[in-house]
Amino acid sequence: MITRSTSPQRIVVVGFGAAALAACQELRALGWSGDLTILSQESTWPYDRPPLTKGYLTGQMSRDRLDLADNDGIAGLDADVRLGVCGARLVVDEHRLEDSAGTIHTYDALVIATGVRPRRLPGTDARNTYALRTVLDADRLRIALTGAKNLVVVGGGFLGFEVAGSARTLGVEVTVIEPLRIPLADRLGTTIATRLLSLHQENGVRVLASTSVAEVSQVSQDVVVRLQNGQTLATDVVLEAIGCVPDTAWLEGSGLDLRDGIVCDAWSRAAPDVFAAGDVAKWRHLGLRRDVRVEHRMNATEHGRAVAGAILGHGVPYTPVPFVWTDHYGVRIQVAGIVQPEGIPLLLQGDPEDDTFVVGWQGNQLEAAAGWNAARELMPYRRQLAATIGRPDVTEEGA
Amino acid sequence: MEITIDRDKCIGSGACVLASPEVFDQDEDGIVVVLDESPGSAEHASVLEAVRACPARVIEVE
Ligand SMILES: Cc1cc2nc3c(=O)[nH]c(=O)nc-3n(C[C@H](O)[C@H](O)[C@H](O)COP(=O)(O)OP(=O)(O)OC[C@H]3O[C@@H](n4cnc5c(N)ncnc54)[C@H](O)[C@@H]3O)c2cc1C
Ligand code: SF4
Repeated sequence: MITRSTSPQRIVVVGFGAAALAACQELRALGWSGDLTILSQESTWPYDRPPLTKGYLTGQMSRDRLDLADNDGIAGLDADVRLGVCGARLVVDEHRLEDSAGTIHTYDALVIATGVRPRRLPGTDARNTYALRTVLDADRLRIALTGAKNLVVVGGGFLGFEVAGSARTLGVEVTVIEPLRIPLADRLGTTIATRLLSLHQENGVRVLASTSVAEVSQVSQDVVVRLQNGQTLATDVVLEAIGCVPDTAWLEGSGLDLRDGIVCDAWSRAAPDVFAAGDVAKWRHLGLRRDVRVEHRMNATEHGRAVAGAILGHGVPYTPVPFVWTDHYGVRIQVAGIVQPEGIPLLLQGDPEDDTFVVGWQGNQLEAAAGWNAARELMPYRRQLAATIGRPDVTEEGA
Repeated sequence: MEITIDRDKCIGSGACVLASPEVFDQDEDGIVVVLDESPGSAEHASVLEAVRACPARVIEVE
């Protein structure tokens, strides 16, 4: 447990997404009344990203439903929120942060929750080629898909296939290109990934697996996608969905360890009085006994709250059960724990042909469980995982 | 304590059920169901934890 002699007076938070918001809300809920400053690159209040591939992209969900807090909620934070202002330079040893407007902030505790940004294909100058992270990206993509005949999705991960499904419901022809033989088998296991692939194919998505994209270029009105195997596809719109990289370029030279995100200890501490939360943070998970970085929505909220506790001195090691959900044509898949892609999943409930089933991965203990339309059925396994992964019975390292 | 929820906002994370299983449950789609809208004092702490753990701020208490 971290103990602190004095409560911090000034806390600065960089980034204002789900993780930052949860950290700020929890600081106030724990009764902390010091000065709070929040720097946000985006010029909107925090909003939810998962609907950007789903209901918001298809137009079923309105913009105001994305907001994670209303005006009262923001006012309740009693914070100096600076929209459109970025953290620009950090000197850890001096507890000094400079922002993009040139203001110098000193802090007693700093929270970095800057998330990730989409990885892009190198050297693409084609028009109508998009990536998706922000609500503005979603607006652009939706406009591009309106009236488009076809879409090529580069990368068959969660984001790529969710957009593929949404584009189908908009009547667009979709091709997904993915290097894995069974897309998402690494994240869902082969049983669920195989069923998901069939579901997309039944809905008219063309999946080109075991191949990747060599180049995207503009040839008169068309965008032309050339594959490694020599095949070319002409299309109206391209979505690059090839994963994300932590948004840490501004931290080069700060003194922080930036190997694949901001490297933290078990209390999410990156340096004295510097904490990281959400997609950008790679922390020591004592339950899983390794460093992990989790790019999922539930983690953002849980991690933000955990960091608030750690800052105020009542933190415990952060040992959540990683959890993700993903939606396709009304089917919801949920995964708890870390899937062992090489391991053979056990059938825990139902049958892989059923409308509802649960599979699991078992080592010495249950490692992960995944449900197909099985939110309730998954619950006992999530509790089981929380009792093992979430409650490490050894202290691997001291505070 | 009175619980109100905005079901349309629920993303089916189940965090409330994990925090307070006597008060919250989920339907087949994972969407929250309140089992007890005015729980007794024994459940107050777990309900407040559910309020804060919910990633979508679905649950309100008065
Ligand atoms: C389209 C989409 C769909 C998704 N769907 C799902 C899903 O179905 N299920 C699921 O579990 N997860 C999903 N996720 C993942 C989930 O949304 C993320 O895990 C979550 O948003 C992470 O929150 P965060 O606060 O860590 O980062 P973010 O939400 O990325 O917030 C970080 C903020 O910091 C800002 N920032 C960056 N650099 C700076 C700087 N230097 N100074 C100031 N501000 C800065 C960024 O602009 C951003 O606003 C999805 C993500 C996307 C993009
Ligand atoms: S915690 Fe919130 S989002 Fe999750 S199931 Fe409960 S009410 Fe729904």
